[in-house]
Amino acid sequence: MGHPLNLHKGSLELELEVIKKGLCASCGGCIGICPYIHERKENVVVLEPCGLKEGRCYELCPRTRLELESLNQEVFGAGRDDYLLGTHRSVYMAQSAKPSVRKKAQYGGTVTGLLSYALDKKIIDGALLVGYSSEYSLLPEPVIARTPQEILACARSKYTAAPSLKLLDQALKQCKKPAYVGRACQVEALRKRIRIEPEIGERIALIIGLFCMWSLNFKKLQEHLAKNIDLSKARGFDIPYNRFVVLTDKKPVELPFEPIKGFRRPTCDICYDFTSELADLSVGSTEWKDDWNTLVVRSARGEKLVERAVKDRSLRVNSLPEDRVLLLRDAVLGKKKRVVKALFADKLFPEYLVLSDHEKQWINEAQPSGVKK
Amino acid sequence: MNPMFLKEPGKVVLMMGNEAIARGALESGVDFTASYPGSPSSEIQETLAQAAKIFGHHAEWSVNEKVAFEACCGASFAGMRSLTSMKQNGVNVVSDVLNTINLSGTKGGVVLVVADDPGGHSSTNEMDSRLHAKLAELPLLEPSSPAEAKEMIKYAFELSERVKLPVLVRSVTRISHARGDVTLGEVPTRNRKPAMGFFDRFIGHPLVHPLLHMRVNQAKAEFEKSPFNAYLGPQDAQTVIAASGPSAVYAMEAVHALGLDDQAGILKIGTGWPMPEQFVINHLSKAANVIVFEEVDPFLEDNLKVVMAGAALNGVAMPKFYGKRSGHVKGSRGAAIGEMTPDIVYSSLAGILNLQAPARSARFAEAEKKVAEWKLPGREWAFCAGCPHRASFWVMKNSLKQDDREGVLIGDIGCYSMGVSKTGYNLSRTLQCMGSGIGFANGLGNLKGFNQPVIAIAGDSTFFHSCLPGLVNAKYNQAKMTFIVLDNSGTAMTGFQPHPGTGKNALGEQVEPVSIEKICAAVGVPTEVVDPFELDQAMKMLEDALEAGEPRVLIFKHKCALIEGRERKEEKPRVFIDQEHCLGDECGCNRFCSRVFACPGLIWDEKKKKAAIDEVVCTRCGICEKICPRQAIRLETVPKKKAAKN
Repeated sequence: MGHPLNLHKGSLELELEVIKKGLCASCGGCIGICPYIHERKENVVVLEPCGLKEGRCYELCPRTRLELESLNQEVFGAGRDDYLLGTHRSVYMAQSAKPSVRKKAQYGGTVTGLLSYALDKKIIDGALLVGYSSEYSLLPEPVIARTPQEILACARSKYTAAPSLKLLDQALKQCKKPAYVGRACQVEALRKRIRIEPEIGERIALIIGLFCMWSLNFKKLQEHLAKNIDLSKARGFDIPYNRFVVLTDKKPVELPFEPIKGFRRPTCDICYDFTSELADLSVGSTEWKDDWNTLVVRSARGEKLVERAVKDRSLRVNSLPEDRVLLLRDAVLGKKKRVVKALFADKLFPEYLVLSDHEKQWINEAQPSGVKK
Repeated sequence: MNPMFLKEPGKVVLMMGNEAIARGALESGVDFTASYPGSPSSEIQETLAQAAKIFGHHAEWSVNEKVAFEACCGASFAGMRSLTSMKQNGVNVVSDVLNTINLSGTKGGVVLVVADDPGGHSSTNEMDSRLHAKLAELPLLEPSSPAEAKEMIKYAFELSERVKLPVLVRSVTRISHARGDVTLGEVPTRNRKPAMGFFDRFIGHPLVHPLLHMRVNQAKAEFEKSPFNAYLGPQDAQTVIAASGPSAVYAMEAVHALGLDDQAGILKIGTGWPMPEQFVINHLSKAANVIVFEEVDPFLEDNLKVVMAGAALNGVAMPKFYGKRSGHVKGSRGAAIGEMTPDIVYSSLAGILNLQAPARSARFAEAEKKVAEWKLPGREWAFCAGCPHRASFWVMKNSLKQDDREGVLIGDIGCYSMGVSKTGYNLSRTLQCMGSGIGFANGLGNLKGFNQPVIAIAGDSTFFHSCLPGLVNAKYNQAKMTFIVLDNSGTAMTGFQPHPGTGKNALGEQVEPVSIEKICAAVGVPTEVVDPFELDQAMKMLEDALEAGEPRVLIFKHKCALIEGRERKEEKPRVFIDQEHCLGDECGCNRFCSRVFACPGLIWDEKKKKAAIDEVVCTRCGICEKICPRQAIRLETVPKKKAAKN
């Protein structure tokens, strides 16, 4: 606190411009810092007007003015040199070297493995992650993990919004140097929060961003699944290559994917950031080899952690083959073209995203590589 | 001993009107009393319950007015004298049986005292209950003072036994809650033996309608000679002021103050129904102008007009009537609205008779000016500090918002009626009558295409009073609603009277409590109990219930802070603001505690620009500890007993 806010708007505008328009990403960033904003089952509401003209809630929202260029400068000390994958040092395929982690985790278990390693080496002393609620089936629940077991218990992607940033301030109270793992919008919100409160940036030791094409609306998904399966037996789900698989106590159950797509949050259609371009490390699926992840190394501290983990045989990395990189870039380009069209040409949504004319033009003119899957 | 209970005939005691009514019952040798509390009537039964230990009559708080009155009729069937008291709304609850018991008649004296609340000081309406007497054709008496109220009760018992009908006595706030000198009479020894003989049958049927008319006429004949009716002033006055209840006393005062003693007559009518027709004709037939003053509706006014119109058959001239119908008698909000006051009587008389209203004394004007300079803040409707309803409304407000489907809260009658105002976050959408909330919710909860969740609330006493049919209906017809019983362990709004759930009866004796939870569960509606002070837990349970889309019951159980305060023996830890943690106006919460949660115990220190506790008001309930986003509100942990200093 004490750092001036630039947007001069508050919860009233947040509600009008973002929440009521269905554009809330449910990152959780505004919740933990304000007694007026709450969420239930990932639906964020402003309980009542706080009466203040401006606030951090509006300022840090990933769907209010988002200046990628200047944030990039602040995070990496460099401009946006790659409009598709963002600032990065290398792109790997990676997996945890521990079979126990890979068995529990999704794909290569890179995130779980790296966090356990960082905890073990005292690079971090906790991590703000997401597990499952003990009360509502499939509802993600933010967790401040302090042990390898707690980290492992949070393995696997959750696919709905999981507004874990609501526990950020608690995590900062409990831990000296916590790690944070989240979707691109959450990493954006966290970077915007750090811009207001730089002292938080000095405390957070690691930010891992997850690849994210869209997240699902929990209530709609829950309603749909309740009609098709016994929700009390569901333990999680996975979306491998456009299939929808519910994990249960016994056998996984596959459901048609098409209806699920309809539950994606509308705000995801204006998200420009598939690979979490402001994270230290970004991790996603390879859409190719099931026991590996794609790992984008962006910051110096991210690179240092990966190098140490590899050297200590905690993490295995290989360079991602060129055609897989091109396929990833094509996927990102497709999404960015859609978003630039929706925001700047069709003007279907509030123009929250600030891009240089050069970047807009580049995205508009760029063509896919032509590599086939 | 309470002076009201003294057996010293002739002694003059200052009594509240309601106490005088109770004393009247004692002097009638009442055997059985049963009531449901409601302002301004509650002290009648409270006094009779206290008296029961001395005089041995039965006294109970019944679950509602209908049961109370029917119980009284039951006692009457066995030949015993019984009395019930209630507020005006209560007569509506009783009205069904009033309109059959009038046909069947009763045996032992039955008196129904209704204390009307003109102006609605503590009511949702200012209904004039006298119309019920006319509707059911039952004798009605209207006292003008506490002393007269006592005498009227005694007469009502005698009349009831002579005409074999229940008798209504209509008090109003300014009788019930006023105090006056009352001369004690004798309290007879009760020696009636209850019994129902072979011919004691009480069958309400239109076949016996002629019997009712006969009985009413018998009462009318008595009223023609009743000492409760009087004419004061010069005979054959051109101007006669007719009045009933406290208005009669206001009229006497005004006539004197305006110097009209030699010109205007006052016709005081104490027997409101049936009209003592000949008495009225005798005193109005020579008058040119009749001015009528009474509480709320032009009941007396209309009845007098009907009597005089009927007298035209015999060549009696119709005087000019000035009153509420003509618009000559009205308060600031219009005719037949609000309480009658001496001021209205003064100004109406002055207006009608072209007189100058007497000026206020200089001392009064001076005092009025001085008080205005104090700039006393208006007193808001507000839940007390520590009131569990504030926590409950906080939970309901936040849960409805979190549910995010524009759910509605349907209110009911009790302290929580204030949920329509700021203290309840303006949450309640309805305010009607006892038990109506769950009824309304039955409709909303079964509307096709209505997707807003519905909460109905009722207090514990209201639950027993009239919510059971609504709950059973909701289960039977699967009305989608969450019914929240705000169980604060007492009938708080009317003065903490016990009810079936409290485990105590009107005499203060221990009885087995009736479990609201078990009743609801037995109806087959999923029922859970939660302390609303456990804000997060209560919110979660409510949100789950709203999402369930079926009839559900939540019992928000937390004792009324005032009852708890009376019962508490040990001191509770002091609540304080940690001055280092409270960021004051620097905090983004914008006075969340004092401005939003708004317990009167939470205040703002304008000098320090930080939150503060008003320790005079604070009940140390501790709920605000959970509200502060900075955890700056704390409970003192230092041991209560300090170690003795060396």
